[in-house]
Amino acid sequence: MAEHALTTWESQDLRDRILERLLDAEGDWVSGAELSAITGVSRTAVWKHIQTLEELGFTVEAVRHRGYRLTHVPDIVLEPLLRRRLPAGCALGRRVLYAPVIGSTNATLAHLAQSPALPHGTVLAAGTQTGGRGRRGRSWFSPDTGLWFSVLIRRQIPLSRAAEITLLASVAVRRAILRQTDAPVQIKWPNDLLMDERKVCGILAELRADGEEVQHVVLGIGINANVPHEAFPDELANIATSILAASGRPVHRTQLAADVLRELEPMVEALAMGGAGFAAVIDEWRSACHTLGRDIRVQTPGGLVEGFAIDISPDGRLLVRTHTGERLSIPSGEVLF
Amino acid sequence: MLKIGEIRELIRLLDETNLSEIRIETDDMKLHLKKPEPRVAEVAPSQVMIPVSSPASVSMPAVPAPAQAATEAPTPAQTSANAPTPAAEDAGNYHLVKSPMVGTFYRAPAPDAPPYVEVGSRVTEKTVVCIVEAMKLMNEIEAEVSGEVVEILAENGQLVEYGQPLFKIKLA
Repeated sequence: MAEHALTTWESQDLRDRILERLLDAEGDWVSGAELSAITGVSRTAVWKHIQTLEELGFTVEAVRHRGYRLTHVPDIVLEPLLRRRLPAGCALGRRVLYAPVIGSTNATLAHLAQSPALPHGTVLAAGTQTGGRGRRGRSWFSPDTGLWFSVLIRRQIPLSRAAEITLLASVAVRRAILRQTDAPVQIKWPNDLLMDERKVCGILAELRADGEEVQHVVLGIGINANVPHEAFPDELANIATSILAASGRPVHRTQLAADVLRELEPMVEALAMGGAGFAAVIDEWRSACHTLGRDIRVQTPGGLVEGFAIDISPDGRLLVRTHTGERLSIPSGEVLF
Repeated sequence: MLKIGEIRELIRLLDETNLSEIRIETDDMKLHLKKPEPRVAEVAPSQVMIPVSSPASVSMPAVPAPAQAATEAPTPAQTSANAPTPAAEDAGNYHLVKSPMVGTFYRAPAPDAPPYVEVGSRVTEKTVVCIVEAMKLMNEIEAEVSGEVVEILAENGQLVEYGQPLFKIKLA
């Protein structure tokens, strides 16, 4: 597939530099000659990138002898738009690739990550995923009203602590959502986010290790941001929701993505520095947890476990007391609704 | 001057005998053919390779080696002293891929997808052979060696422990 070659993404750099200049002008005119000089391509090539921006949802006014100016900016995760919302020096999100339609951001970023040239913090975002994936190959409904992105984490993290990343991500996403809404957001072990007891965000990471150390992690985050309630297919209607549906108000998706990255950055750095990872936010996770303190059923590799969810361990295991009084520490499984 | 065919003949001669080099000098030419290393050296690489790949995840299967040695013992000693004994070769020629973490062992990327590898699959260092999952972190396990999968030691969908052997790979 063409999207799997890093070179096919390179023209985004020129488009983003043009967009950067137009955004800097804050609605004022920028001449074609200047855009041509900045990018080092012909004015005809500049015009083609302007057309690409319009296809992505921007409105660009073009007038002979004056140049171009932006009159509408869409809420999509392009590098210049995301970076404006990130703190200076934030490594996560310093490079952003965007595809209006893609198979799966995780699959494509995992493939691109085979090139060591792709830096730590690279984000691949998509408008729509045609083959969005959940756990164990389950499909993930990904219409163009959601927020679908993957982050490349290329830091020296011991493999024994890598699983903390998905737990930390759940805390980061929850904080990011709460910056835009007052509606409660809960966490279902290990890292699903719920609003109104329905899934609003899924997190799935793919890892490659080098011996006992992480080579890279592709962290996939799918948030049903502004998906209208009626858009969910029947089989999801009772188990999925969106921030829009649960809170009644749409969210700014690029801001949401920036807030997730801003929250996640220090957590990942702490892991890389050997500091407290999940342990540092475990109380926050506990207080937001939907799973703890109630009778639950967990599908585990060893079979169905029924019991009372007591706690989570600092390395993320779910501690369950079964009805027969046995205490189990579950590293892998799925809590059934 | 020697013809190409004659030089080829000399190379064959060198190859098939115990000679280590041949020098020929005539008025119009000099020819010097030399074997890179004595044959003994060929034994070394396969034995040296064992601990190199990843000390933590390599083990030498103890059982097959003596068994092999026993069956080979009665046969006449036709191998030269330089060649590896079959027993030593056998022990060193396998690599065990072990689970680097506690989690669920999956042989395929999805339930309806074909397994990453089967018995008989050829693998290289970077070939993904399975996934071990914990807390929705999918750890794609690489073979770490080149060779052929000869045994699958864990059950799909089962919990595996840290250090548990998952695959036995015969080194190429």
